[in-house]
Amino acid sequence: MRYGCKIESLGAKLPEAKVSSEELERGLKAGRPVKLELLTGIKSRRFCEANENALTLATDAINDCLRFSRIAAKDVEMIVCCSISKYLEDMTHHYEPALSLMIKKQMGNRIALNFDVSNACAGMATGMHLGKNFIERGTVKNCLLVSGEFISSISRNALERVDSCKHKEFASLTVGDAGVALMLTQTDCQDHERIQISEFTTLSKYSDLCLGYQSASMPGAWMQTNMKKMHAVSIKNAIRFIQNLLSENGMDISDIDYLIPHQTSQNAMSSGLKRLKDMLNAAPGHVVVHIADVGNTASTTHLLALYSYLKEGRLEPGNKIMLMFFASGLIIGSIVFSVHEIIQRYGNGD
Amino acid sequence: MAPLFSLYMKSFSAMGTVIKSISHKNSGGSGVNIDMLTHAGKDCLKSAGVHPKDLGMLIYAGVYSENLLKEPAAATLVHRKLCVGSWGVGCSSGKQNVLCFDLHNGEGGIMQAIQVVDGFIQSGEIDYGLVVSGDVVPKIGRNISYFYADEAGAILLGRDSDVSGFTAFAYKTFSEYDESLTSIASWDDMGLILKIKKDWNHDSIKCACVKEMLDSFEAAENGFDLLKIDMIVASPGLQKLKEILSPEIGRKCFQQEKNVAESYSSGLLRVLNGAIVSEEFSMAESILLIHAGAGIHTSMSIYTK
Repeated sequence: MRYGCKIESLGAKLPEAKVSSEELERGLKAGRPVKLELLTGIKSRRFCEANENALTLATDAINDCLRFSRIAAKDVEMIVCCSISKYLEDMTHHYEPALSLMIKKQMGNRIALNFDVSNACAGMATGMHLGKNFIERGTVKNCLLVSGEFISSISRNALERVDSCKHKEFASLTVGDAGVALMLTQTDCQDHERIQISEFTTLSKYSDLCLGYQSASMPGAWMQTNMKKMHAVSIKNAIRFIQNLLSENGMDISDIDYLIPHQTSQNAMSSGLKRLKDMLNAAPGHVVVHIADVGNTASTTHLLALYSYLKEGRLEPGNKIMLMFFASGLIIGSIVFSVHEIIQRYGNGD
Repeated sequence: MAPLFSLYMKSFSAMGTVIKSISHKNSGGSGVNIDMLTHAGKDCLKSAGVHPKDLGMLIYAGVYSENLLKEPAAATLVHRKLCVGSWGVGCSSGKQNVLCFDLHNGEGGIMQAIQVVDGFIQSGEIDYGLVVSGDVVPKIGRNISYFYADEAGAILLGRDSDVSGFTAFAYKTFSEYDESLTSIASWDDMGLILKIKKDWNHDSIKCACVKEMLDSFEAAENGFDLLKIDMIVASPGLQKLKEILSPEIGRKCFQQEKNVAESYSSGLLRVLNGAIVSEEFSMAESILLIHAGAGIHTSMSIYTK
């Protein structure tokens, strides 16, 4: 028997400490301005302080998610941790045991199937795709996806080397820390809130355009990105991908009320939207830009934007949402669903 | 009271997800794990007669990828080296979309990666899924107690209308022992250091936990009966399991090669690669795969021919 899968609730956690682009730029060792805010639209981002890390972001986001959920922590049947970073106390990166196991233990849950997924900025998207499959087949009734993205070390480490906006580590200056948690649950196949589309592809020819490693010398990681090429191939292929996907599902881009793209930079999103409009001769109702005060929060970026829109009451029952993913790999993907009842649980709606 | 484990049993009438091929490789000293993984993957595809473009999913399930890569997923780099022709949407020579990603759960990620691929094959979303796993000693920083061999394995899964294939997956976590194996990267004045801490009795604890998992599944009266299993294939590190099972059950354990404990995240594939060509395997109708790792996370699956 097949079931539907829908979003039951969503939670988020942002660290308190704000770091402005101006402040970050002042820390550049080369001492030359790189017009960070002007080029990216990012005014500030949040960085974890000493008492915060990937696990605290994840667990705080889960607690927030459970506040809006009808599912108790002990009844969660599947937990997938989807963050790139696994930095815990004192910037120690944990390889084993899996972070999902630590989260499961902290939740007091003893029954959930758990594992970690790593797929760069498409981590949460990949988790949603897997969770949906498990739920639709009836293997589990619910699935908690979580990401505590503690990635500010790549920004701090890049300060040592970035000397212009063309530097291969410039994109590292756009990132911020954040946590999100998403509960998926079983529903019937006719439910208007069910996830209607979840599709991904991997263009591995471009897998070397963005590479991140543990730093050999400084605590944390470092990342190099060929931003120009990454943007060009992502947009070109993503538009074709969307076109095929919507056509196969009897939809048009104008059926989408809110398109939430990966939040990289204001300019990148604007030029991507222009290209989308030009190629498809149509556009979604709104394109969500949620970057100015949080920056690029990697795997949490789409759901952080959705959470913000839910909390601010900006969505209406029946709105169709499209999450559009680009990630190192090159992973391109999209998830489409509508929001109805969930809006009310966030204090909004009729 | 809710059960303290997870058991996922499927209908035997379902078209089975079957093992199309398995491969296991040693680096021969090169220590380049993307190449090792690719080599194992290529062998799998070749021996099954499956073209890389027919893959719908590629998962890397190991722990230590090359130079402690964080992004992209190691699976995407393997995919690139497999020369899968997916260079662009709409102009792809690939038959279908492929999703590549990494799945981590210590050395036991392989079992869950198999379950994930099984799910997508069963739902008809993909025809073939490749799981690769293996570890390589990091070339950056220093390490303490990294004792794993540079090895890689691959398993290709597909659909078969005549064979049940994977019919059940089950997991049980014994988090009271989660400190018995830990692995962290940290930084001191000399830079990165990878520290792996393994208690002297870690393997014994794993065996005891697996025994408890098997006992609890049998006691749960869900149809699982060890007596109905013809062969047991356990991961390296569970060599002593045979000794603590009853003689009747213990004799079903596939006799592993010696010195396989260092294979780590590709260990189960190494043992399975040996088992699958054995006479016992050809005679067996139901095979129990067992794994245990950091956490202590125990897992098992039933493969029915």
